Amino acid sequence: MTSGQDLRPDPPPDHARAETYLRMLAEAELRRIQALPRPDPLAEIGVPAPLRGPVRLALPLGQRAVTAVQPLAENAAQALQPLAENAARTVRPLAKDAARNLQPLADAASRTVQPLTSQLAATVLPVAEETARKLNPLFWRAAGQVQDQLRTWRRQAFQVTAPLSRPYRAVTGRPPERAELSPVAGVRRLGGVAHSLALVGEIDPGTAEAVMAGVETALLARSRLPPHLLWIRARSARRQQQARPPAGVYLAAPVGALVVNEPGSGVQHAHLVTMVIAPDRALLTLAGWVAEPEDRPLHRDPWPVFGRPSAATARDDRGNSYALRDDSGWSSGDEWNSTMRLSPLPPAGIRWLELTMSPGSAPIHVDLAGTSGAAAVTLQPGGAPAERLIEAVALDLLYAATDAGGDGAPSHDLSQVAGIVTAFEATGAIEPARDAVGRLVTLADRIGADVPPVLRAAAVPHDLPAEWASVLENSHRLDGPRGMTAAAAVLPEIDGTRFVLAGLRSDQSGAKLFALAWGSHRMFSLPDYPGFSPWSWSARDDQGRWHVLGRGAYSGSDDHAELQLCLKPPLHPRATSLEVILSGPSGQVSATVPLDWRE
Amino acid sequence: MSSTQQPTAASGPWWALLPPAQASVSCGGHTHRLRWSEGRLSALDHPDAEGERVLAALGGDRSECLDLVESWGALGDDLEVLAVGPRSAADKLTLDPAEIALLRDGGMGRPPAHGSALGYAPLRAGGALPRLLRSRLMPHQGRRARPGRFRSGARTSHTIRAFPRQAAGKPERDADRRGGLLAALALGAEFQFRLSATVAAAWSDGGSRAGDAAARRPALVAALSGRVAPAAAAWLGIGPDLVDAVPHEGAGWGRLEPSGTGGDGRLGVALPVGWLASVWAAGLAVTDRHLIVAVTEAAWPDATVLGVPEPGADAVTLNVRNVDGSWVRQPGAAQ
Repeated sequence: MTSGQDLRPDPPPDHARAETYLRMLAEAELRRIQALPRPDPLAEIGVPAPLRGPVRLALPLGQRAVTAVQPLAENAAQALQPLAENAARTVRPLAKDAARNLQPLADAASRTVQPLTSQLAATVLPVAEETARKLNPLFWRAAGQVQDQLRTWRRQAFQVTAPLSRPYRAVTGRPPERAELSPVAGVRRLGGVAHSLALVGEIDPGTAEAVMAGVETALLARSRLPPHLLWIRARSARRQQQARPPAGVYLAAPVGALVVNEPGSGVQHAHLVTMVIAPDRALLTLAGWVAEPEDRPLHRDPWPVFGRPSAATARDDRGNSYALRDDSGWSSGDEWNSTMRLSPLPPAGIRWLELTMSPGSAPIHVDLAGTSGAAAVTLQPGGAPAERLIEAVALDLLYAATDAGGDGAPSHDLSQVAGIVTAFEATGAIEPARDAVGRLVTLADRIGADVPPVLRAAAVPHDLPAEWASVLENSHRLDGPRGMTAAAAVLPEIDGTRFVLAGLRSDQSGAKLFALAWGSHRMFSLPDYPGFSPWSWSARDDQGRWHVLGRGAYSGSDDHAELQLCLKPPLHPRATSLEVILSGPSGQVSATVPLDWRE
Repeated sequence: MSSTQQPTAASGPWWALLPPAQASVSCGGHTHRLRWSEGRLSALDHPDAEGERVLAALGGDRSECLDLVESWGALGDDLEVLAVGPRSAADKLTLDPAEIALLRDGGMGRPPAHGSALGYAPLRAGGALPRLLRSRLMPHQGRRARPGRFRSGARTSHTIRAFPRQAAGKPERDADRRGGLLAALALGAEFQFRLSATVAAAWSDGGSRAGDAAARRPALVAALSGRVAPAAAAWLGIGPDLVDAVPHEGAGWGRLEPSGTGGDGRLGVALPVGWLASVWAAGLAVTDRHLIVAVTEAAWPDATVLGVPEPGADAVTLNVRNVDGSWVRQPGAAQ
């Protein structure tokens, strides 16, 4: 007896095949997670059941906070003690004077008191502000120390485990077994597959989102996931609503002026690099060198280079006046970067701006007419989305290899991409990406990274592309030029996102490209899941040297982001132009910018 | 083996083997009763439910009981119920009101309206989520500003909203829906299975959404697989990942098809989506070492079912009775 029905799902006409695969994967993940032991340390220490939920939620945050804050607090207490004493010494006589002055006036009319209190405020406020200015960098320095320590520990852990991996593999023929994935890690792995299937168009993004929301809610309902993950998801979904960059004209104009900073600003030189005018904001990017180089990141946000509040102003060819206010700022080592915001937003069509950075200083002319940034901005269709996604993974790996400086294999886990390639195999999306998988495997072999068998099986053998070979060959070079240049370019809108290049600084070991982005935060923030960024950046200088770019500093809101992209290996010392190439889900855009270095 | 020549039809409605269930919920400071019977949820302590709804629509207080009944109705064909709900009797949902409350506003980042989450009354077994929790899960219902409620002093002549009302976009609607789903599931295991059965019945032959089933096949495949797999695994002692299930369409109860041997042995299963409502939700999936594939007669607490004793064998007819919550094969069952 047969019913004549195939037990496998029908070949679907649309996205149903990938959706079925993803939902079945979600079911398997749910079963896997439910089979994991459920530790409940709170019960073991006798926390009453009704309190365990809130305590579970608060405990990790509290533990992390305590761990992070304790050394900071100790350092801060030591550092702040003299400041506090100084502030107290400064304020105490003022307070005594004020008290002496105010006492006889207390019986007088309020109009007499008012100017005196104003005078008191005017005296005390600068002291308070100065104190705040001193405290702010101390705080960021402490935070930087924590970050550095974490990086050091991670690097040390990798240096310990990486050498063990190869002998183990040589003996056993397989890489060391990984510990069972935690529920959170399992959901992230599943999300990586969902995210990737959506990126390559195999499944509707909303459906992928719904599947993930379902499995996360199911795990929450079984106390297998902390509720804040769903809160983050809901928040993220809400933010995704603002999806497109504002319509209108985008300008990026080189400024190229060196200005003298306010004494005590902590900045040695400040270059006004690029003026960017977008439909919703106008930003001036600045870069320079820290007066007393720090060996740790020194975040100041904003960095009041031109006084606080900034006295910088601007005017345009139509007679409109503007204020320039600090917007953001940060430093690393001896490098300093900042943005200032022009307010109000200039109208479309202005031809030039004159910037006056401090009262009495010479105005700096910025030509906006006919400026679209650099020459030769191009938009090209790319290969299949799956191919581009695997290429992006490979560029990530390539960047990791250059960032490691060739000291052994980079710490790069390809098991996630193995899961994605398996999904592509199952849904029929792999074919256009087989060459790319082949290139990825060749690269991984070349740099000594572990290659999961499923990747090797899916790969068509392929040579290492010449561009990647160039990157690897030059990864040890320390011959980059030192300086900064405008690198101003407005890239065409791609995949609902607009990028504007707004400055490039270079030193002997590499370069940093500053970019502004508009669109959905989903597109430029780190992905929710360890899938992959939808973007990959590469570059080629006119001396034939290829480069890959990885993301460095980042600051973003719902619909705008400022990114610093780290370029490796260093630019050729004689390079005079650089083609910057951005690959996104639907294609590739590029711009060639001149390299007109200023120290 | 398969079923085209065997009887299939479950006699009676899909809820025939699901007895009435009742839960106590906190409603307006009182303990009220919700009762599920014959596929419907009703609020026993709100005899004029329609009148109360009209009053609520005009700005009067909403009741937790009626909110839950309303949510239940809205979830009746929502496939997310099957994505979130239990996969088997052993799959216990542990909904923690405090944790859910801390999801607060579905990520909209607004401050809590009613102080600490600890202010929530603990969820009683079988009880409903209290109003405060509901207001957090369903902010657009629970926090709707009522005229006059936020007047502040004689000099204020206009109504102030506690929070600016935001247009309910998809994320907000999703948060609303998910809040209602979790509140309904928090009524307890009996209600979780009955709600799952309601949804399965809506998408099975003759159900209100049967016509759309083809378009939602992936979700139905997953819903069926997620429940058939643990049942078949328990039946055969194999890993649930070795079970492939798909919805059966057409005549007969479906099909079982073992493949491979030893540790690689897999089991292919095709069962109608209605199996979830009539068999699985009633707790019949594996009874007396048979995989139950269909109900042929149902008269609670007795039923006549078709069960497969082992892969490759024909289905046999069994008479079963529910005794203290467990299905027990009755003597004299027909083959």
